[in-house]
Amino acid sequence: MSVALSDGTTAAIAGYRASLRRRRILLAVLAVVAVLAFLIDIAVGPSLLTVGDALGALFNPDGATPLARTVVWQARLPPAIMAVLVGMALAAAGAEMQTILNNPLASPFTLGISSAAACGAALAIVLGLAIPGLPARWAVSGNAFLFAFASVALLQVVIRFRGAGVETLVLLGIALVFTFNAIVALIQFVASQDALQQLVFWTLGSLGRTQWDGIALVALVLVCVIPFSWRAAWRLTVLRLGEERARGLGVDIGALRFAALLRISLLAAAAVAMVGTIGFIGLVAPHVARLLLGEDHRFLLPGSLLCGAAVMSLAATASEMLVRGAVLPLGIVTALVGLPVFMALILGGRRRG
Amino acid sequence: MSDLVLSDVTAGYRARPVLRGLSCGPIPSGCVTALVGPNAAGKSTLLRAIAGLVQAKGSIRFGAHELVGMSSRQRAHHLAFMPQALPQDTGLSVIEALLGAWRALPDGMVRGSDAALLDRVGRVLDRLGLGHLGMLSLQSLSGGQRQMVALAQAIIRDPPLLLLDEPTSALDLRRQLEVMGLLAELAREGRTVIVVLHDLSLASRWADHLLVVDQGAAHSFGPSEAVLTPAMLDEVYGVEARIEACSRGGRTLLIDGVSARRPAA
Repeated sequence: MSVALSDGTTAAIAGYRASLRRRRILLAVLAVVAVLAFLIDIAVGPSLLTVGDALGALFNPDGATPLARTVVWQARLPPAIMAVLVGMALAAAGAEMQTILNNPLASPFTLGISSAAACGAALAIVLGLAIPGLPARWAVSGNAFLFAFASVALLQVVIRFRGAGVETLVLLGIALVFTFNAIVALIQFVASQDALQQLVFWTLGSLGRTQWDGIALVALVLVCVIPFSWRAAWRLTVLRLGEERARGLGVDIGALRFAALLRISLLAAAAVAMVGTIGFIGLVAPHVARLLLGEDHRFLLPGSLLCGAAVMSLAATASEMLVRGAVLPLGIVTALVGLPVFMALILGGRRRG
Repeated sequence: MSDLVLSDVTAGYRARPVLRGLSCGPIPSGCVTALVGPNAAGKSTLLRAIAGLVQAKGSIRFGAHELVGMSSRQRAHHLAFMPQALPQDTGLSVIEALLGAWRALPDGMVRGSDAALLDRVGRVLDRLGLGHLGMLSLQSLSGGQRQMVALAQAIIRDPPLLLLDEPTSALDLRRQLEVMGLLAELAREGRTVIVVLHDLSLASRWADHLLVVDQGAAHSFGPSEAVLTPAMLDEVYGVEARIEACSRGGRTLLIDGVSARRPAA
């Protein structure tokens, strides 16, 4: 402030301030898009309700017919809310995973979280093994969560114990994926016809099983975890410059990665346990957020949350619309819609900068 | 004003000790000390051990503080380290990289309004002549420009101990001189500046002190004129060399060839 800055520097700083404003506006726009997508998800569905009736029942329940009220509040609202929460959880987990693995193609499931969850679910569905003391209707979700969380915990222990780096982490994760897939295949091999069908349906991912207590659980995980992500935003941003540099600036990479993996495992495990494997959201949403907002995690993290919510709501809507009279499993829709989007991002990407 | 004293420093990587009981010092504040030595002598390892990136045994005292065993958070209050590797490809802009270097510090040090921080960023950009690059992403910069940004990241926090690993390796001739001049300036302001340099001419011209590292130990340490001798070059580098007076008064290093005796592998 005492010494005047050069013109070039003054212009650059003005440019930076403008980019801050631009990104705040973009976040606001993303928030509006996410809310609209949520409303569309509620307004549209496989019943005879008109869009107007559905929205009327949502905003003014007392003025709506009992049928509309029931359809909206009991059939449509819980999955719609779950879609938003799961989208947020997977996107936040994906954003952090891409940063700590230093790889934009990573997703929350890269290290085997979804395979582990499927393994846990298979044990519950096929063999009836569950966590003692848990109500029967929670057996599958409980197992899935336990396995997903435990798989990352195992990786944590190994890298802490061996002091291993990112490459080792990824290789171990891949090894876990194959191990769990093999176990699932083995369980499928011995499963009854009926159990096999249930298991396959579970792994496809669906919002149809949504219960209010499940919603509360995912919301709780989000509320507990996201503030810590936010606190780590600058350290994660600096990690984008390279591990050695971040360490040179005083960032404890081991602790940062440990905490990030803990957050990722909680978010992804909660999501997978409630809705099954829904791929691509955790990959595409952070990607889109990065393209729009850059790599400053103060914008990337909230941007990923909003993109995840919006994409998930739209995918949920599409899963109800694509085939008349049927709701496609959400995991299939996100993969089918996500794959082309992803290919477009890869092929059209690398143009920033 | 803090001196750096190294006593019996042992450090290395798994199954490969690099520093074997290196002792040296006091390395004084207020001047630039260059770490020189042949390949694999342990120059970078010594710098990384001081910065805390490699576990070290022994004692590394900076002023009243013992750095060995200090957490990276605590260390960040005393020093900044610029690694040899250039910043990797990232969409972060130069200004974001500098803000990050400041904001990623341990909690107690990141206070201050954005306006004050941006003013600080602006002054560092101006000092290094990088203002026009401020809004460009690092992945769009050349190697030399990235190295300048890395240097800016190291000095933005204004640490009393500055550790730089080959800060001029990607720079053109003019930038090299500018950066060495800047380091001398930073040292005169009271900091302790330690820099790994490969180029002995650059080191002898710009560094006040030389620390010659050979086979994981300190071979010699002292004022540049005293340390840079044909005998040292023969012993450490295995080359025949002369130090001649230059027509303009400086000293010039001339390498004649490989000396008869081979340096220990």
